[in-house]
Amino acid sequence: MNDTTLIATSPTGVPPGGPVDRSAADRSAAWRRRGSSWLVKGNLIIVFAVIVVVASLLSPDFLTVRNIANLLQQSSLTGIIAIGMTLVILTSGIDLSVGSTAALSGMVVAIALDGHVPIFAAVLLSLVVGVAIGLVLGTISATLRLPAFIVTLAGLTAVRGIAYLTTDGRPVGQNLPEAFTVIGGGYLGVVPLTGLIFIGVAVITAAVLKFTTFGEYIYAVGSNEEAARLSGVPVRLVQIAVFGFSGLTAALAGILLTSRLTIAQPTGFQGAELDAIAAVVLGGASLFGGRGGVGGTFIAVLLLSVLKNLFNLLGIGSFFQMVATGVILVLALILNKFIDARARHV
Amino acid sequence: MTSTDDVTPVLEMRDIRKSFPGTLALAGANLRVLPGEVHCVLGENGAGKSTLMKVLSGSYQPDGGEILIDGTVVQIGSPQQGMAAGIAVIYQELDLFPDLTVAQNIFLGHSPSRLGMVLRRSRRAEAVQYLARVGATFSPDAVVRDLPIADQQLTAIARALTTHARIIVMDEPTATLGEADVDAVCAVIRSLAAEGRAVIYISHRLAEVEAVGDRITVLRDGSTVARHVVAESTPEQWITDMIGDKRKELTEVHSGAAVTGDAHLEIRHVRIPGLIDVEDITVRKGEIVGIAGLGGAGRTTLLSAVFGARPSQHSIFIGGAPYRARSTLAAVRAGFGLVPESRKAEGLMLGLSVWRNAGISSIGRAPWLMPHARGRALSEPVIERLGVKFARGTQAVGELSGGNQQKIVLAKWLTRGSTILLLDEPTRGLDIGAKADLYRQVRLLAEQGAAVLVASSELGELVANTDRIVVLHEGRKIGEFDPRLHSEDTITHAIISGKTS
Repeated sequence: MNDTTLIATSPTGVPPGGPVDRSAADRSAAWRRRGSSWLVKGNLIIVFAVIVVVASLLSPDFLTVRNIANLLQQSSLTGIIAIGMTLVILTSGIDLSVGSTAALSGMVVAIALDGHVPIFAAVLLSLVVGVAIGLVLGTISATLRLPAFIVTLAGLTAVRGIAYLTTDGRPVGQNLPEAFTVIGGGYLGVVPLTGLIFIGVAVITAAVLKFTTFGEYIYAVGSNEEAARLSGVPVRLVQIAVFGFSGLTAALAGILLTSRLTIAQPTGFQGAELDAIAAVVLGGASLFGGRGGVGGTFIAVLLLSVLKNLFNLLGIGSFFQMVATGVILVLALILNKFIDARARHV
Repeated sequence: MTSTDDVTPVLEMRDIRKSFPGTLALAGANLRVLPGEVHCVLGENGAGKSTLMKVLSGSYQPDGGEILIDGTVVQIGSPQQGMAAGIAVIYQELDLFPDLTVAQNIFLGHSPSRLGMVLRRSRRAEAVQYLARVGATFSPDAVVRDLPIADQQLTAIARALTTHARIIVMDEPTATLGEADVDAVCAVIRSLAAEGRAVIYISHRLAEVEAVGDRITVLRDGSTVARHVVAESTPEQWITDMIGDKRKELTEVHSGAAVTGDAHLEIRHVRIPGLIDVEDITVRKGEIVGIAGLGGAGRTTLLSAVFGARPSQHSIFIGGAPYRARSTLAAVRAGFGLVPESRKAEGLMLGLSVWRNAGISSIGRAPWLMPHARGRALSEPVIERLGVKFARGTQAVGELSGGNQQKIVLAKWLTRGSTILLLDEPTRGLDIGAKADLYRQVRLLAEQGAAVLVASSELGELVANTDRIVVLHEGRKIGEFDPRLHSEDTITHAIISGKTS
């Protein structure tokens, strides 16, 4: 029942549309809005900068080339996983299976190399395994309309089990070729190769999000799935694809860890999914989808490792580190929410 | 009207007025309900029935008028106060908790308890009693989700009884029930009245009103226009009162010449078992065809089935070629564009910008790159032509006014170049100016060769703006009218009665 009065309409003249002329007051409001939105986007960078300054003041070792290189090295693997996670979260999904997928892919590449498979083929095989896991989980979740949380939680357990089963729980890859181990452990000048790969993955993904129809569809699905469907967006395909991509980035991280450690362990990447999710959310993405981006995730990943690095330099124990990281994460989110709410009310 | 003035009415609503931005929903509605009677409230879509009931329940605060219970003026400031005053409302969409048991639902919020612990055994025992009183045969331990709709209906009625409600409002309780279940619910309604309670009954089915009702109040355009005693009047009289004298109103009729030519969209049949079985609707290029019907007649279901948003058995032709409504994507590719009933929930991505919303359906083409620039380039002229008012194209579409939001939904399809537009309640929530503007744009589109189907619950709009009007009744097409030839009352008669006499 729609209880509005019956009204007969009559055509009336309508002034032309388009952006309305703004008065001075409107313009200043617009400036204020723009200022706030810059603050929203920029607040993470500000926090990051503050922490870097504090870190360099507290510890003279912080701003050394060696330390920075180390930092990039350490953050790159979680970072790569977080980039894939960003796309999933943008569609309002979540992927809890990434840590297990990374571990399995790391095992697969080592086993293949031990079997004298060429490096290129071994890496490709491992990536295919990662993508396949993502596509399977994504397909189950999207076509059967099951919550991604549960489907990928099942994936987390099952895939980890497969990782153990490949070698019955033993580490593998004692004789990895040096041409392979250099990928994860090598440097270009002073810059670690994994750091460059992380930056490369971030840039490519950001470009996909901004400059392709697929990227736009990701935002559309996350913003309003039903409206997207009724606009002719292939919603399920998009949902499946982001899980495939998440599997791909997880596999890449797994290969790099095996390469860096020159050995593969089925126990690797325990809890990596939570680190990735934390970084994505800290980076400003909404868990309800449709809002966020790769840039925010990138900064957030660096921020979290700078914090960890700072604690290490200060000699703070790892138990305390865990508590402090949690507290800082919550504080950052509160700050984000606060600025966001203010921006909306301008 | 009979002399019932010597009995104190259990409920009296005097001169209730209520307006919303852009509409006057109630313009002096009166209602007098006696104890022990089934009082039916009749009226067209938008006559103000639901608004009046929401005022009674305390959901809405009236702008004027007074409510008397047992002859004393009362203030009903909230649904809680309404309940305390002995008023229970059973809505069409039952507000039960599907995962709880029948007993839990019946006593939710007022379970028999001691020291904060629910006394399960006595709750169950009492639930059994209440269920027996409504003639229910199912267990109080059944989970509501597993019950058929009719039994859920009885659960809701039993719940109303536990609050010792003396005035029970039922808003279209039988809309979703089959014949046999309707009889069961009607029997319960009669027994409630026999206990001395007053039942206010809202239904579009006049046969039921005849079977179950004692007296009738007819609302039209927000005012009470007639009262009848069921036994002393006929459905024809009620319909006449519901329609009123439409000839006196200055309803404009689209004055253009009738559109001729071959059918562009040809719907031979669309069937969803239990919901709709619509046959034979055609739309020519340049033609706007209206779909009229009561709430629940199947207008929205028909449009979403044609658009491929819900599965159906169908035989549809576009320009003579068969079309399968497999998915929304297939529909969009075939040239369809749907402006859905709820623009916020289904039409727009509120957090995204004006340009991104307008361009979303047009960027799915090779080379699949630069969606923002392409979407903007394609949609900007369309948005300007539609006269959308906005500050910046990068502004979130949720910040625009309702009329401008609706134009963005329309712009989405014009940007795509859709040739068959399906509009579902396109003017809901818009003010008069925005409504007129929207229809003016739709007419322009039709003149440029689009085939347009508009579903609306406001017949005046369809009469004023369409070339033909198809009337749906309980999921079937019952007739077709030309607003130039048929009066609005003839069409309204068909909408209400389901007959085209």
